[in-house]
Amino acid sequence: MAKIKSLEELKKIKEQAQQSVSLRVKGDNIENLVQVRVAMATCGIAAGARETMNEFIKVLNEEHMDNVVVTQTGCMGYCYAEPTIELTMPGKEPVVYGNVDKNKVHEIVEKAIKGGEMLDGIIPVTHNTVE
Amino acid sequence: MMKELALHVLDISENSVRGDGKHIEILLREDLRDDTLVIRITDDGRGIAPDMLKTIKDPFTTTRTLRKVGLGIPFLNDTCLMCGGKLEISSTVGVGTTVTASMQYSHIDRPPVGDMPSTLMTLFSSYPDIVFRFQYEYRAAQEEEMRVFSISTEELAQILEGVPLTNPSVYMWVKEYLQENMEDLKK
Ligand SMILES: Nc1ncnc2c1ncn2[C@@H]1O[C@H](COP(=O)(O)OP(=O)(O)OP(=O)(O)O)[C@@H](O)[C@H]1O
Ligand SMILES: [Mg+2]
Repeated sequence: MAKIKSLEELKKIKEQAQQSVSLRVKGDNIENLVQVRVAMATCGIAAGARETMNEFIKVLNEEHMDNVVVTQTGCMGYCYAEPTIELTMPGKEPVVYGNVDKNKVHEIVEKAIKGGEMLDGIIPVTHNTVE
Repeated sequence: MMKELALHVLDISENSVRGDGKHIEILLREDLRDDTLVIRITDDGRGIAPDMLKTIKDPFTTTRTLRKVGLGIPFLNDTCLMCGGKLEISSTVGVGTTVTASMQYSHIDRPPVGDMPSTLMTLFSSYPDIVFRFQYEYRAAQEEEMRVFSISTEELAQILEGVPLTNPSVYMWVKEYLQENMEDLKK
């Protein structure tokens, strides 16, 4: 019978994580930080925002892109285009993308984040309010 | 409408976050013996004023300003009513809020529980400064005792000693830990 995970093991995972982090050069991340914020209000959640966020986390982990931070934002008021995300490249103004399904996540990671391109699906930002 | 109850859990917990809760407790109880499913979310946030509480199941009750409707609570209320249950909300200003959703477990329209580990990881990793506690209870049809699994981000933080939950290997491990333990409880 396969044994299920216990919290004891997490200690080991933590120690391994600490080692691999300290091997990398610290500090050169801050000014290269890319931020992805997934809108997580009811309309977003019903339209799949949780899966969008998970997919970002999964792809970025696989690609070892640890200069990208994935977090949430509240309602940005674009219910018609959920799931929506806000992408902030270093030193740039935030850009909002609508209808971000799993395929779009891959496109955003490959082209917008890695390649610095502007993609289709940008929602013109008319205000800066988020709640 | 939400495809999974776990999405309602995420959505209602987001209310607690926006209400400035610093401790958020999530209970999921599948009681096959009593044929009930209960979701209860408790926070220690700013609470809801009595006037607002009276009309909170109405979509036009919201403190949002970007739109005039608040859908989270009405959606969950609909799901409960459709599944032979009810939604109860109690709140005290300055103390906190408890939202309790109950449903008939075997009701044909009841949405599946869905991906709770995903919901929990979304919350845990987005809000490192909030303490989340999750309790999962399961009772099989012929059983007396409730089986219980619980986890809190406080105990995780104690083990992790500063390594964030967003660390890729930590994140994956904790998610699998939740998955395995929730499945194991039902065996
Ligand atoms: N836990 C809570 N603490 C404080 N206030 C709350 C809480 N839950 C709900 N509220 C209040 O009730 C209102 C209605 O909540 P509801 O989830 O139905 O809609 P919403 O959060 O405003 O918008 P949506 O859920 O559609 O994104 C909120 O705007 C908020 O003012
Ligand atoms: Mg809400």
